[in-house]
Amino acid sequence: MNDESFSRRTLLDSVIRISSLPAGMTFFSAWIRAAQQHRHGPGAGAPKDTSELANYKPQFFSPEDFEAVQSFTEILIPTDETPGAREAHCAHFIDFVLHAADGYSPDTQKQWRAAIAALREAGFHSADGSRRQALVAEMARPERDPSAHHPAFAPYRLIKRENTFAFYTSRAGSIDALDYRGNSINLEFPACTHPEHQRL
Amino acid sequence: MPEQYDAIVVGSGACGGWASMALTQAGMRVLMLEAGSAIDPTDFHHTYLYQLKFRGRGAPGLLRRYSGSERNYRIMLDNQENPYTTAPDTSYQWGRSRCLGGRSLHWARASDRMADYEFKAASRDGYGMDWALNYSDLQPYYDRVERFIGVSGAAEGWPQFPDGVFLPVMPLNCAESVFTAACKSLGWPSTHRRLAQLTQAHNGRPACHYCGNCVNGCDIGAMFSTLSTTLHPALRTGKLELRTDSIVARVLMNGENRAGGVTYSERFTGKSVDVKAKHVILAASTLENTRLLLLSDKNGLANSSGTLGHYMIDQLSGGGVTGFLPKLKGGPSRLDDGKSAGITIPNVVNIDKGSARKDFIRGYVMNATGGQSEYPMFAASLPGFGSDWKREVKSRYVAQARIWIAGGEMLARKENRVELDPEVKDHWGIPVLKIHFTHSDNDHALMAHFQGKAEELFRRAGGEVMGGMGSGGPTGFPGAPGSPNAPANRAVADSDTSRGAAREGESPKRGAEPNAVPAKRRLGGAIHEVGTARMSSDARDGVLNSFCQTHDIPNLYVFGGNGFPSTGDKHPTLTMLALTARGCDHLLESAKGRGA
Repeated sequence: MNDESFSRRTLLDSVIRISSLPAGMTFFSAWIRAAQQHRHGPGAGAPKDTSELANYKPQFFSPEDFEAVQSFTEILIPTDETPGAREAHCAHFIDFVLHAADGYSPDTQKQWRAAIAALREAGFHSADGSRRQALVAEMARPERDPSAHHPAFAPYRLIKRENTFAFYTSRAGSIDALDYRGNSINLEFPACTHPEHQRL
Repeated sequence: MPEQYDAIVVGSGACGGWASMALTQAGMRVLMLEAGSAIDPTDFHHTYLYQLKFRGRGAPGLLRRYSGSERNYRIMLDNQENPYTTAPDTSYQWGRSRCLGGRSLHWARASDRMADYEFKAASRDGYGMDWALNYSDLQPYYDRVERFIGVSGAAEGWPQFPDGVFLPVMPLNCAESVFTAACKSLGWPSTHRRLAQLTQAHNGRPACHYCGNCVNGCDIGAMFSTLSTTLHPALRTGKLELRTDSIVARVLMNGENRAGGVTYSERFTGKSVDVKAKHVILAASTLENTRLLLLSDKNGLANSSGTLGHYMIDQLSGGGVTGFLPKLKGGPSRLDDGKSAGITIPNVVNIDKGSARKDFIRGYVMNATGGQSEYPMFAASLPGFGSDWKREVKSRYVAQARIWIAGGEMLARKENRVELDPEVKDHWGIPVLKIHFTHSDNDHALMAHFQGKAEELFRRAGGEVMGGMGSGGPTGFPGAPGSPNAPANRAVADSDTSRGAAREGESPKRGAEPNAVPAKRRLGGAIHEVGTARMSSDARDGVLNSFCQTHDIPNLYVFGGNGFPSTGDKHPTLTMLALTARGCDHLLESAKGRGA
């Protein structure tokens, strides 16, 4: 049986098998609860995103800076055949984390203030969509070309790092874009049966 | 007059749980004292990162206070309540847990038997001290432990990697198949990791359902822990009294050179309580056991040898290879991290004359795995952005691969030691440990050899090396144990591997070039700390005998890693459990003889 074919029927069979074991009852209630959360098997059974990021009002960035950060994150991870930073509310998450850092991580907040100032200095705030795209490409160049320099490269890296985290830890990034299969309940571990992997 | 128990067991981790079960089943009245809180296993459940407010990194400040992650800090430890200090030249991170079940709730489950060549390492290479027992002494206890807890694995017949009583193996994922083929091509042995993780219903516990959540507390008890396996049989006897939130501060002695009980502080009231027993068993984790012995006498209790606190050892970490298997790029998503396992490449150096090395003594075990993970640790280091970058992330996501050292033997040296810090006390006013811990040239040479072999295997598998993935690997995410930005002093459940994140502002090295091997890597520990009360045949050479009974005080036993004179190249927990089972038999026999 492969992971895709997991069904409520097989789940029920498994529950009956486990509950017939004396000590299996110890964890039975937890298992049932977990099973209910993931009753459709890997990936497809991942619960909905119930976070309130969609309704979150930015508290760390000014409205103008937030718009710039949001635009930047969507250039880095655009919406295409899969969701992007917009659907994952990456800019909102970044603002949320930075606001929560009040009193705990003044250096982090300072670093982000400096990064936003550098973006403004580079003309990102006042640029239109295509110019913003071009600016990000210029800032990113040192990633591939160690001889290249850009004054906003460090801010680019900072936003990229946090945006990557915000995206791939979101449901949109983890489940919809990457099709993450873990955290699910499976009766078997799917074995590699590919002959091309069994030999070099 | 305080009540007297047959035995007090301090600690409820793997060893404390086993001891409580063994002694109560033999009819003893046992008091188990746990410093942390009670844990309800029904609180364990699957959680996606997006369901956590801070996506696993925890609220600001939370993980400075607690070890672990946003998911599992409740089964770790409050660092503010329980500080420790280190010597100026020491960078050791002591991974700890204080709760009912202790580290058994989030351990890596690796259950490999030590072989005779490890017990007799000193006789073979002239360094250090042999164990006070042989493999044949422990074999029946390995058997007993494995039969009860359930260990999945394959019998291979390798002398340096003794077979056990195994449940069926977990199948290999694609990356593990590729690494297995690469091992065959190199003529290296490899096998499924041997794990205390059930592949079929066993002793009333259900089989693993491959969710990959092992280190956050198994929600069905398919992995061995005190809560899932040993506590209930002990409680069912009606002979076990369990007191949590009870911080033991010292062992009490009576006037006849025998342990008479312990004093503990109630965690929330600070009230000091004395309890009496005919036997005292320390099973509070290796270094906490030694701390208690140091706290119990100005010269250290059971320390006639003068070795108490010395010869602290941990297995090595700090190397490894991370990257991708091009063969797997662009493939479909699969449940690659659902078993949190991998393959094991047993030690092949210094096991006989033909494999003897001139540049270092002792050996190491390697592990390898790969495939899909919860978080693509490499993504932020992958150059570029936009849709092409997203597609490249997706393509590589299923092709991740890593090799890490699973049991690098570190040499025991007297100068690596713990002592009571004369100035720093914990929340209850109890002096804390100060750790002195550095690595030797042999440790560095062994690690350099492992690094070379890991890169050789990675290349043979066709791997493309990339920095920046950290060691979170298949279960990692930023801030997770072993990841490049993991906070200091956090407990991890597995050996650390590469922390090869590219420095900000530099192009990460990519392509066919293997990881650069610096002259001396910064080595770390593996949360396999052992020693500090080593066992010896002669009471002048160590604190414990081969039954983990103190040489000096016959009714005082110390279960954990304290007795290890050397680490060997296997993960230590199974051996600790076997030693505990053997020690409990000895205690019961001795008690019978005394009519106690």
